[in-house]
Amino acid sequence: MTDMPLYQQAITVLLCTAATMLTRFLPFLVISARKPTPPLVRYLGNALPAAIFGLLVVYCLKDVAWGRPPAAWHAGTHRCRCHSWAASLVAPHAGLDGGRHSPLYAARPTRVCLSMWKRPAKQAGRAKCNAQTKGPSWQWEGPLRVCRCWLCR
Amino acid sequence: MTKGHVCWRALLAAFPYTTPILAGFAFLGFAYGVYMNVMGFPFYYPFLLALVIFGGSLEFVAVSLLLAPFAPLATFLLALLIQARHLFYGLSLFDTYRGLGWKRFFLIYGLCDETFSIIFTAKRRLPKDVDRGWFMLWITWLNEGYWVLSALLGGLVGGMLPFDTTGLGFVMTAMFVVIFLEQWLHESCHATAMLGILAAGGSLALFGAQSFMVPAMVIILLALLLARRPLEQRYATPFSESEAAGDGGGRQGTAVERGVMR
Repeated sequence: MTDMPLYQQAITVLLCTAATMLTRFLPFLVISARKPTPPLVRYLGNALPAAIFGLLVVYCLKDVAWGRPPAAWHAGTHRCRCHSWAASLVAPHAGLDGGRHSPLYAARPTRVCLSMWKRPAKQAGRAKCNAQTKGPSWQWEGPLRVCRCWLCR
Repeated sequence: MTKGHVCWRALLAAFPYTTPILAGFAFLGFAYGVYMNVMGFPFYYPFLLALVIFGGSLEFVAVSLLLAPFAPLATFLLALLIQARHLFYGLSLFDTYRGLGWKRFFLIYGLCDETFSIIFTAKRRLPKDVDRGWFMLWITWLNEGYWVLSALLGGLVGGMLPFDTTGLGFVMTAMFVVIFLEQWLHESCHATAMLGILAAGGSLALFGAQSFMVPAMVIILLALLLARRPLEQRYATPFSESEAAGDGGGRQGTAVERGVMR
């Protein structure tokens, strides 16, 4: 638990909220909704999204350690290697026509199976696992540092 | 059709689009709740933070801000930098959110990465008989609900069960890749998609994972503004014909007025 008094906690949370809402509401406040949309905003509205999705893809993969094959695709950690296999099973249920992009989904389990096949011995795997979780991973470090996946047990 | 019927119909239409978010947010939100619980916060903290801030990455950062010494200015600036990408969402959806009355407030309030992506993808194939405003509002509320409830659940259950969610957040990456590909297949010109990837990748290589977002956004915006002349024709296809006709008429009108003025 934090040492902050309650009012400081409240201010911190409120500032975070204010900053978030400022970034969300600003375009709508600055541009008048009564007049027709300015051509520049219309152009940006048409041209920006594709760039944003590219940006978001990079944003999601920003902490991937690209230099470490074959785990590079799996966030560079052993844990991720097994758990993203589970994630790849979840992902095809995405309601956005998964059928067209099925090669994308098929590629991941294949690669995971290959990397599991080449997996080092059990003890070595565990040591490597704990060592690697300390490094940067593509998502936030969870509270649990010990690998509990079915491969490590 | 009664009002309740419109609302219900839109919910039914919106739910399937939010299922990938349900999968992702259930795990991420739960992990967030567990994380705060392990850090020693009572269960209502993740719930309240999820409710008022509603922005995944900032909420995780907020935990460390709460644990660190009190620094209001640094907190505000950091939050602004992390959330700056929302400016782009507002710009992109400005036309889409036009004329929706009170729904607009909630739509903008809950405009997170995932909601933006889903709304942008879904509005192309929205059936004619579904109310557009309710549909987008339900997508926003459903996503927000998934996140807040799973954060509450994680905060309640907390450290009781050994549960490792690392890697399950990859659902989100998979979803963004799919949306990116879908956008790619829909558009006739790939210039800005390439621009997004290249600017973000280059800025990531230059500035590192912690601080690449803002430079990448600046690069994208500058490039789009500089290349407006060649790109504007290619990206002139609006979302629906009626909007285009209405605006075209309006623009013509102003041009005529300008001519009269001169």
